[in-house]
Amino acid sequence: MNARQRATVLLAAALLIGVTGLTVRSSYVLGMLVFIALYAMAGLGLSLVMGFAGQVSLGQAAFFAVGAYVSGVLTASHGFNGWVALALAVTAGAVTALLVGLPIFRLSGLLLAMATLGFGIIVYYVLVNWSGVTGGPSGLTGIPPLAIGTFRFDSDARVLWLVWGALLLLLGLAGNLVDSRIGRALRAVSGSEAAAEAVGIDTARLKLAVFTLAGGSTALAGALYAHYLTFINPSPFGFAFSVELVVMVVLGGTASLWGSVLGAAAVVLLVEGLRSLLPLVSVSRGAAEYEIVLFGLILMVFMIFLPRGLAGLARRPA
Amino acid sequence: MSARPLLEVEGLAKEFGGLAAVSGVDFAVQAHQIKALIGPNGVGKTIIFNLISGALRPTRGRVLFDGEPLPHRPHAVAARGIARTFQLVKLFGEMTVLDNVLVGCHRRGRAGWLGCALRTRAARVEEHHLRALAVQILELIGLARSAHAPASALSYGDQRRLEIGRALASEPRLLLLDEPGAGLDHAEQARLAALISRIRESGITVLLVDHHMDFVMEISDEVLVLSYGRKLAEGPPGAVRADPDVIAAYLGEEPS
Repeated sequence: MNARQRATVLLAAALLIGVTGLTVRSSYVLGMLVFIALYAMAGLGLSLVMGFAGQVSLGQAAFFAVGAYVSGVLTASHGFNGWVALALAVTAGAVTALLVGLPIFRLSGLLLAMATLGFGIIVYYVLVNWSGVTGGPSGLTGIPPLAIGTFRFDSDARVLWLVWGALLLLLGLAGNLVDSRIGRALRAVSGSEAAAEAVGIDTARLKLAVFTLAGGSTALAGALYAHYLTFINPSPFGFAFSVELVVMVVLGGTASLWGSVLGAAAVVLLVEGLRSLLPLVSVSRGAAEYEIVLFGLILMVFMIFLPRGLAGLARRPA
Repeated sequence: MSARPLLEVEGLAKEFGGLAAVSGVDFAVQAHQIKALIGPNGVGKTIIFNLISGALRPTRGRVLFDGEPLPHRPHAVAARGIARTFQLVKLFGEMTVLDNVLVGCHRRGRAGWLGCALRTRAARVEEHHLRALAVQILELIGLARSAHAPASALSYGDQRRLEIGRALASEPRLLLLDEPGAGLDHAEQARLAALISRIRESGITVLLVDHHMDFVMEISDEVLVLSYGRKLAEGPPGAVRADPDVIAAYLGEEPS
């Protein structure tokens, strides 16, 4: 796709979302669409990390939590303007990723997976135990919705516009980026690091930059999540969510922008489908246990049969 | 000839767990020269390339480029003006031929993350300029017609030339060619020899590694023969060919 085609697709998507917000009344459907956008935003960054930097992060949920808590605490406890808090949340996510990634990307191997796994656990326990600031296990309430003047993003339809607007904007920027000098360098790094270095590309720095951006975009999703729900607690930000994000990327396809949307949609729909089907089959257990089994299966099947994910179906190699 | 050589290799040594792969090699490459390192397989030629290009850190010795020691990270060496190719071709196979050369142009561009994401006017102008440049390079290496084919679809000889084109795109002052003639037939070798001569004429110094005596002797101004990680002989092709030590080392591999 060239820049003009991308703009057309994005405008069409924006129009569709605009109309959806005006016509769809079901808050269940709207809420699901909001979550698809939030997950896609978080998955987008991880997709670039996995696809271009060749590393997997098992602690992406922690960046989501950093975004949610920074924006939540600043607005609910300190009275910050929502947009200022949002910007600080994104910065916090990016800076945290930079610090976690700094020692990692000079070395090869799957160290990032280990480091982010540990980081995710640390963040989770900080959220649970630092009750004075985070509210501990019971969490934080009273986070105000974002607002422009008197227009508050407090209904499902309005949040839908906000989060999809942000997602489409991100997709547009990321699309431009992939199709540029920087994007070529990223694809070169994933093709052959030695060859990329040989023409003067600082591969370690480039990978760190991707990881930093992913930290920022994931924190943005987290912050928008906090202002949507208006309350947060640590339990959704555990290891299971990090795994869910990895599953999304594998489902959608790594290094693919629209793949992250596809993957997010697939995971949200699968989880919802499972929740509505399970009571018909079994009454004894919650859906969570079955989710893990299902995700494990999906990971295996996709790794073996569709390593490029759903997006790979659309662009078969010539 | 300039007073100071472009590249000076001093007492360069590399050991792997106590095993010496390269043991104290000295040589110099004058600007605008084509110089060749030759020797049987496993003699340490590629290791010397990796030591110069920063992929390996020497155990002892140093490499000066333009009188200054070289850094030990490949992208930093490339930034100093040294480009290289690889013994086993390393192209970006899924990218087009043109994009491979454009990646080579990376350091000529200035557009950053923000400029690229926003498609600023400066970024677009620069992209346009880089593309024109890449097309010129494709014409030089004779691949303009395949510009939009994936690099992996090229024939082996074309892939070798594309790798050279990508290296040239980074505007090197010194070009390191690792076995450029390997696996090529006579016609392709002749084409490659012509390309290397043109590269030198454009002002770029060439250091190459090969074990094809004929090919090397034909195009090089100076030849250095290695044997077991040491320098065996050095000089113009004619003199080296007549050197008794060289003849002995190559016994059974007849230096025709």
